[in-house]
Amino acid sequence: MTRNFGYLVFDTLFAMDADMRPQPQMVKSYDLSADGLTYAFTLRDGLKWHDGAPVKAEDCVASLLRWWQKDQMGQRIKARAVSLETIDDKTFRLVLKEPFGLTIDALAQMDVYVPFIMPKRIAETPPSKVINEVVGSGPFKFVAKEWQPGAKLVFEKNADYVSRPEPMSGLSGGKTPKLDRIEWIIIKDPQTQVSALAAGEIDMIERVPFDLLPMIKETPKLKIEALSTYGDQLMLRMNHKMPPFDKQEVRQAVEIAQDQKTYMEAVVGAPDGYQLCNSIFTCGSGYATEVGTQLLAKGDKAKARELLIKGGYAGQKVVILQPTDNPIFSTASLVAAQTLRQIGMNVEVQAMDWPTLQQRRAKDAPLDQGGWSLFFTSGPGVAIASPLTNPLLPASCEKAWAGWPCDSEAERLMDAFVKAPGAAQRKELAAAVQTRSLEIVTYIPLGQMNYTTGYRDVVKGVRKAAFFTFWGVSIDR
Amino acid sequence: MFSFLARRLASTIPVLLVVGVFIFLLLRLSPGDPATVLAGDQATPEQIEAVRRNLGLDQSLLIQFFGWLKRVLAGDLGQSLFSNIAVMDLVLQRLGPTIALALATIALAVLIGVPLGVLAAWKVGRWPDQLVMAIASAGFSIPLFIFAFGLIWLFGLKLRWLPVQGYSPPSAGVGPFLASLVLPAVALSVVYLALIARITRATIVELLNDDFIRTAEAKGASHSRIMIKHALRNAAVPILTVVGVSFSMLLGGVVVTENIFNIPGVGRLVADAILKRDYPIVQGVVLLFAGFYVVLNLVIDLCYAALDPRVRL
Repeated sequence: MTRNFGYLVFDTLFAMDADMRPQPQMVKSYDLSADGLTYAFTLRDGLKWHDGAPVKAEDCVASLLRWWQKDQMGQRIKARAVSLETIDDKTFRLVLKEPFGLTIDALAQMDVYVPFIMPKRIAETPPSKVINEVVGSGPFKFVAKEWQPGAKLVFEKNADYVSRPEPMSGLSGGKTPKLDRIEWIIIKDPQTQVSALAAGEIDMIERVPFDLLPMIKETPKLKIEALSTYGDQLMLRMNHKMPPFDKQEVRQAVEIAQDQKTYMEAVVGAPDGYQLCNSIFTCGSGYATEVGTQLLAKGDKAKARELLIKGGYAGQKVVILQPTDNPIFSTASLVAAQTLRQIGMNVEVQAMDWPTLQQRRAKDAPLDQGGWSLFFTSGPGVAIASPLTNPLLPASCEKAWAGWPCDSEAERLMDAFVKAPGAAQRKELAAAVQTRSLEIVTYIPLGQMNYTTGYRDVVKGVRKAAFFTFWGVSIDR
Repeated sequence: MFSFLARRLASTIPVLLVVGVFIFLLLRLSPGDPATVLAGDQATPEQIEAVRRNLGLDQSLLIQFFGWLKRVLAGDLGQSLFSNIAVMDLVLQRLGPTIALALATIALAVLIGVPLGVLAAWKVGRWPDQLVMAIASAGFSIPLFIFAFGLIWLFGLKLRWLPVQGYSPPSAGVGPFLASLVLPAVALSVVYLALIARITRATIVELLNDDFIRTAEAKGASHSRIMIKHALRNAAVPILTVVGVSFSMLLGGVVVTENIFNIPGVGRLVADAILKRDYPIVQGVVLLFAGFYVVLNLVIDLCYAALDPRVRL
C-alpha cells in the first residue's frame, strides 16, 4: 500500500519498463564517464511539485541521500560514493570510487525502499522519522484534508503533470492521469469488499481474496484479472542459529520434504491464482533458472527422514510462529507443521498476531527463552527477482535478516555478482547464488501467488504491470 | 444534590488514573512493538532502534508514563505514532459515526424492545408472549456477523434498497445519512432489543402482582391504563439500567459492526491501533471512554432520582 501510494504521488528518476529494463523517468538524460565512475543526470523540463514549485536537482540529491541510508541497494551505492552533489538547478552528479554496474537499476527499483523524489525540505527528515507533509511531483496529488487514517485516502489529478512522450511500459513511459479523483477506501472485511463491488458502491478491489474469486466471476458486469506481472513469492524461513536448524542437513530435510503444490492449493486454491516456481528468483524475470534446484520442494519424505538422521536430529522441538491475522501465512504454518510431523519432527505451532511475530522473530534466543524455529513471509516478485533486492538472500550472519544465515561462500558469490561487469556474467553468478542459497537453505521458496484485481466493467485502461497503477485508467459510466 | 454531583465527578479522577496506569502497563507488557511495525518488514535492527529512539520508546517505563501523564493533564492525548495526527483529532474525526450508530441502535432497541416486552407481559403465557420470547432468544443466539451478512445480501445486493457498506455524514443529506445507518443499526440492535424486551417483560410480570396494581384494578382502571401508566412507569428504573448498560456495551463493542459495514468509527480506529501497537491512540481512546462511562453512570443515577422519588441522592 505504501509503495502504491508512493507511485501515485511521487515520481522516480528512472523506472523499470515491462521487460525490467530501467528507463529514464524524471531524468531527461544522463552521462556515464568512460571510467564508469561519474554519472551526470539532467532533469526533464517542466517538472513541478504539487505546491507549484519547480523540481530542482537539489531535491533529487537530498532524496537520494535519505534513500541510501535505508535501502540495501542504496547502501551499496553509498559505500562506493565519493560525492553526490548538485551542479545547477537541472543537473546533479554522482561520483563513485569504483564502478557499480547496477546504479541505474537501483535508481529504478520498484519495491522495498523505492527511491522516490521529494522536495529537499521534506527529504531532509531523518529516515527514522515519519514524514509529516506529502508533496510529490507524481501524476496524482494527495488530499491531506480528506485523509482518514486506516479508512480513506483521496487523490486528485495533478493537472500540471508532464508526462513522458513514450508509451506506457511497465512503470515507465507516459504516466497520464485520466481520473479526476481517486478514493482509496480501506474495507477490512473481504466479504464486504466484494459485496460493495457487486453493489456498485466501489469500482475496484486491488486484491480480491482468493476464496471470493468465484463470487466475482458469477456477478455480471464484474471482471477479474491477474494484473500483477510477478505476484508475490511465499517464503519459509528457518532460524539458522538455533537447533535443530543450525544443521544444514536438517534444513535440507525440511527443504526436500515440502511440496509447493500443497502450499499453493492450501493458501490460494484457484489454479489460476498461483504459479509453481522452482527458482529462487521470480519465475518470468531475467535471473529465473532451474539451476541448483534438485533439493527444492520435491515432497520427498523418505529422503527428508534420511537427511534428518544424517543431521543428527534427535527430536528437538521446532517452534512455528503462526500469525493468525494473516490468512496466507497462518494456513502455510499449518501445512508446514503437518509436513514436518510427517517426517518425524517434534512440532509446536504458536499462534500470535503479526506485530508479535515481527518482534519475536528478531529475538535471537533459545526456544525456552522466547526463541523460534521457523516462520513464513512473502516478498513481491519485483524485489525477489534479483540477488540484490531479495531481502532474504544475504547470508551475512548477524547482519542478515531474521534467521541469520551465515555462509562466506554465499556472500562471496553475492559480492562477485555486484562487481560483475556485464549482464551475461551477472546472470551466471545469479545462478551460482541460487545454487548456494538452496544448498545452505537461506530460505525455501514455495510458489508465486498471482494476486487478482476485481473491477467493474466501467473501468477502462487497466493493464498488466509489476503492480496496479492508476495512470492511464479511466471510468466510462 | 450539588455535593452528590461534586463527589461523583471527583470520583472520576482516581478511576481515570487507575485506568490510565492499567492500559499503559498492559500495552507496554504485551508483545509487539510499534518501532518494528513502523520501520517496515525489511528494516535492520539498527533502523528499528533508531525509530524506537525517535519515538522515545527507549526510555524507562516510568519516564514514558509520567511524560504521557503530564501531557494528558495538560489536555494533550498525544499523537499517533504512525500518522503523526493528534489523537484527539482522530477521535473527533471518528466519533460521529460511532455515536450515530450507537444512538440509532439504542433507539431501535428501546422503541421496539419495550413495546414487545409490554406486549409479552400483557399476554403472558399466550402466543404473543411466546412469539416475543422466541424472537428474543433468536436475537441472543444468532451471531452478529451472520445476521449482518444476511441483511447485506437481502437489502443491499438482492433488493438494492440500502447501501451495503460505508457511512454518509449528516452533511451529505439526511436521506443518505439514515440509509447508511439502517443495516448496521438493525444488525447491532437485535441483541439489545432482545435484552430490553426480556427485562421489560420480567419486570412488568412481577409488578402486575403488586398491591398497587390490584388497587388500580379495583378502582376500575382499564388494562391498557394499568399497563402503561402504572406498570411501565414503575418498570422504568430497571429498563433504564439495562439501556444504560447496553449503551456502554455498545460503544465498546461496535468494532465488529464497524468492520462488517465499513463504518469509519472509533471502534475501528482503536482496533487498528491495537494491531499496529499505536500506543497513544489506544491509551487516549480508552481514557476517553472510561471518562464517558463514569459520566454515563452518573446521568443514569440522576435519571433514577427523576423517575423514582424514593431514590435519595
